[in-house]
Amino acid sequence: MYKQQFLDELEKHLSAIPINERQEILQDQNDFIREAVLAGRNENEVIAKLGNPKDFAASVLADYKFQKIKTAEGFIPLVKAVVGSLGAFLILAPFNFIVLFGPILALFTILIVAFSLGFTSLTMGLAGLIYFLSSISGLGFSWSLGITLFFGSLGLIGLSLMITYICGYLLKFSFWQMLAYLSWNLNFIKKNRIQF
Amino acid sequence: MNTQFKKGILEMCVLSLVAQRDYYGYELIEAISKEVEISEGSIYPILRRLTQEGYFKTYLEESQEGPPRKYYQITADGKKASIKLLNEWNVFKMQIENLLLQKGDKKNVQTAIFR
Repeated sequence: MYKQQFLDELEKHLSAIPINERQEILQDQNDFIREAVLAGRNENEVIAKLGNPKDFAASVLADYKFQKIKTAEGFIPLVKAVVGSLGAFLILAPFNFIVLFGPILALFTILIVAFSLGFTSLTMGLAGLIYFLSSISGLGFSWSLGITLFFGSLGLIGLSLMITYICGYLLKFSFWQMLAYLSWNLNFIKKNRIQF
Repeated sequence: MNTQFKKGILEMCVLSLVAQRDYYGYELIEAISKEVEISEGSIYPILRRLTQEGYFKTYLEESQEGPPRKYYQITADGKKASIKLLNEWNVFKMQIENLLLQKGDKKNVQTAIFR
């Protein structure tokens, strides 16, 4: 493969990387080949040793996405970086993506539903208690029933508060776990693609 | 050899070579592949990563042979990281040597390192 052909193909496979960084990577490879030829080596052999441009690009891409996740500061940029890496994932490790991402999504759905349910019952319990307290004289409950209802709704509120809190915590925890998992995967791809 | 293991060591080699003096990419690859068998494509990603992490700075310098070359220069952070890695490496190397040779007093080796 000729130099220009190699570089063109590399550029094509690196289209997901911003132009300035892409140019830098291409420039580095171009420099490397030029220096090798200057040192008296055969250009085609040098290029052949660099390997398939697609594999080479894949390792660079995984590295780039991984770096993005590692350096992202704040929640929104981090989510953006992770979502941005999903595309690279699908191409680089479709197996991991399909086999493990499904269950993760299901877990998330369950947690989100539980969280919303807990939150709904919390607001309903609160509203009920407020209504009960504001109209207690007009309802004509017996004294004992009033006490039962009062503490019952307090208990309900406490319970839903707990559920909401636990689900919120679990959501947060599994979100970070998912990020770690994604990072690990990118790292895994990187390690396997870069050959010695 | 285990790829991951070799890769970490390669990163340390790149870091400590550049800590000694400024290198341009090809020169560095040559210097390493003279001693260790590596794939030439594996060095640039390491250089890029170490630069992004703030361990290296780059600058261009004219060359007599052709277009300017991109040189890598160690930063203060990079210097610190290379010293730390080198210390860890020395300890690790001693421990493994001890283990493989199954002789000598481990305590002696450790005090020798930390002295």
